[in-house]
Amino acid sequence: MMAAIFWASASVVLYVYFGYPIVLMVWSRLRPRPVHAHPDEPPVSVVIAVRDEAEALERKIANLRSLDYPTEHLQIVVVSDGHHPGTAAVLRRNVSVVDAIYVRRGGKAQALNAGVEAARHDIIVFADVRQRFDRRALHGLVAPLADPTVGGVSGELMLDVETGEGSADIGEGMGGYWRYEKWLRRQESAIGSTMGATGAIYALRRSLWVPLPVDTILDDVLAPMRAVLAASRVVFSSEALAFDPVAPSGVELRRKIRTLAGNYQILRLEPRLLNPFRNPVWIQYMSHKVGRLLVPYALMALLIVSGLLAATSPFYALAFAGQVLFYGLAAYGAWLSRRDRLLAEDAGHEPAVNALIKGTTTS
Amino acid sequence: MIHTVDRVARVAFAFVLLNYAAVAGLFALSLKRQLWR
Repeated sequence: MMAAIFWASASVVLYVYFGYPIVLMVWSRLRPRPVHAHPDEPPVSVVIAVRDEAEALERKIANLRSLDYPTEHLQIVVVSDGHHPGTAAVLRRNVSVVDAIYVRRGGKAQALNAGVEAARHDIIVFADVRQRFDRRALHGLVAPLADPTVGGVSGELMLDVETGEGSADIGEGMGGYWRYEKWLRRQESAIGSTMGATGAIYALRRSLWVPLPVDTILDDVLAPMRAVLAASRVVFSSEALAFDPVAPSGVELRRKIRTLAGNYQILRLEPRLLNPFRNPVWIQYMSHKVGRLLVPYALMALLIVSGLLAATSPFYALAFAGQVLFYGLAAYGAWLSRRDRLLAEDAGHEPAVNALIKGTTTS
Repeated sequence: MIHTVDRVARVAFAFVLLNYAAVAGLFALSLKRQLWR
C-alpha cells in the first residue's frame, strides 16, 4: 500500500513537470495547428480596472497613448473600482483620451464587466495598470485574431529577471519558473489553445465575453477558458509583450496563493472544464492546471511515505534522503532570499511593495 | 561551487514556494478570505 502511494505520488510529480512537457513537444511536432495571423489595425477597446493607483494609471495611459497604433482605433476604458481621489484626478486630467467609468467598490470582476459594457469595439484588450506594453504589443495581440478560429490571444509577460534588469530576492527562481511556464503555453498554443491568458495583456473577441461572476479571482483564466469551451482557440503571441518586475518573495507568494485559489475556484465556476466531452483541451487542462493543484499533496505524500519506507529498502532511504536534501536547500534558499531583501532595504532599494501586491504576474 | 549551490537553493525555494501556495490557496478559498481586489 505504502509503495503504491509512493509510486502514484512520484508519477503525478514527474508527469506534471516532465512527462507533460514531453507530451506537448511530441504533440506539437506531430499535429501542429498553425494560426493564420494577418497584420492589421482593427479598432480595439482597452479595458483596465483600477483602484487606488493614481501614479501607475498616469504611466499606463501615457504608455497606451505612445503605442505604435492609430489612436483613432484605440479606445481606452478605465474603470475605477470605488472612489479614490487620486485615481479620479488622473481620469479628469485625461478626460479627452480616456472613457472613465466609476463603479461602487465591488472587485475587479465587476469592474471588468462594467468596462466591457462601455467598450465600443469588437476586440477587447484587457490590461492591468502596472505593466508597460511594448510599442508593438497591440499589433501582436490583434494579428492572430485575423484567423476566424481564434477567439482570444494572450500576450507575453516579460519579467525583469528575463531582461537582466531584476533584483528581487526570488528573481532567479521566478525567472526560471516563468520561462518554463511560457514554454508550456507556447506549445499548448501550437496544438490548440493555451490554458488561460496573462492578465496583464490579453485580447478577446467581444462576442465571446460572458460577464464574470462578481467574486471571480482569475478573470484571465475564466474568460479565455469560456472562449475555449465555446469552440474558439486562445493562442499565445510572443509579439505582444508587456513588462513587469518580479516582486519580493512575500509578495510573489501572496500572488501565487491568489492564483492557485483562483484555479480551485474556476473548477466550481466552470465544472465543464473537468468534462472530457465538453472541454476540447481536457488533456491539457488536467495536465497543466489540475495537475499543478495536485502536485503539493503528491510531494507531501512522497516525503512521508518514503520516510516510513526508508528502513525497508535502500531505494526508499535514498529517495527520502534526496528529498530532505532538497528541502534543506530550499530552506537555505529562503534564508538567502531574506538576506538579500534585508540588504536591499538597508541600501534603500526596497521596491514599492504595496503597489506590487496588486495585479497579476503569473496566473 | 558555492555560487552553484546558492543558485540551486534559490530555485528550490521558488519551487517549494510556488507549489505549496496551492495548499494555502485552497485554505484561503475555503476560509473565504478576500483574495480578489
